[in-house]
Amino acid sequence: MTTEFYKLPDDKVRPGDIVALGPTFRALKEVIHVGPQQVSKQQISAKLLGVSGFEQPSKAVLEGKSDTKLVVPAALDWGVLLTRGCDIDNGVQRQIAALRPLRLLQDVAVKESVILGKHSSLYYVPKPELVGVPTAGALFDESFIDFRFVATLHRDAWDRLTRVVSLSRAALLDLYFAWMKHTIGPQAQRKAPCPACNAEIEMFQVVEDFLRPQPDY
Amino acid sequence: MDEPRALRVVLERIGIAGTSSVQELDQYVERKLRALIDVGVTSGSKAQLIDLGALSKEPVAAAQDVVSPSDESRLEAARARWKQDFAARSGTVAAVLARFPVDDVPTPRVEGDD
Repeated sequence: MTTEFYKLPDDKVRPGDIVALGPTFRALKEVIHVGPQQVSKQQISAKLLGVSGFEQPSKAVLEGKSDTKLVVPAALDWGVLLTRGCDIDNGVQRQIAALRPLRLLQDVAVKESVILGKHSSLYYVPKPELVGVPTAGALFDESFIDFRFVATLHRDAWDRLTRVVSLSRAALLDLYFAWMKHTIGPQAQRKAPCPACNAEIEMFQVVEDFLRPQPDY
Repeated sequence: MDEPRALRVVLERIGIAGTSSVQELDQYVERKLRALIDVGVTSGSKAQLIDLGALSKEPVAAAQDVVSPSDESRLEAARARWKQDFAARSGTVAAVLARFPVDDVPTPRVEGDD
């Protein structure tokens, strides 16, 4: 590969940093609240509220007037930091997108389509390769970043995670572009036929021109 | 039990009730069966595995990927194309994204977020 995809993390936290045991929050199937906590005999206990047939949370919570804590199904797994540098420097929120192994997809046609970037919610990442680190490939298998599962951590929780490897600048920008595609929906083709004359158009060039209009625009 | 009803029962038990193709089910069961045997869970017929409830959708098969040589060469071709595409678009994407004034104004602090 002429363009590196991975690099070792910088000393400073950067977008594209990859952590091994970041939380991936699963989709909530039901909204269950954690009630007030009690400490006794070195154990913390709390009631679960909102379970069908049992005690419900307070009216203020149910009316959205008060914060609550929820029981969120989750797994600790590989994740990549999406938060941009400016927000890392000035804010405490850290967004982590789930990094999931390609092998979770059983069908070869599906794997192939993920590699080729045909799914706007899934961004393919190859097995790690790092110059001078021959064992990097053992970190994780080829995977995909799943934009449907993004968890927001406070800086304090993020700072407890170990940044193992990071995306190169080219890979990070590519990831951001994929995120844009995810929000837009349809796949962004590099080339597409002009609807008027059918000539082939370089789509990325069009976008670049659009973002840098001519002086007489 | 007639075949369509048996198929429906199996589909419901393994959690892919939306699947209607016998061939699709067969491929699914084959993949699960091979994976289960490869990871040393069990050996036996498809029916036994289904009866044992071993054919859950998650994560046993995910523990070990079973890819045939022809599938692997197909994936290799896709990976090679991805490498080319990534290298080709990396410069342009960087140029495009550099036009966005993303870091000019920091996101404001929202009360209660800290």
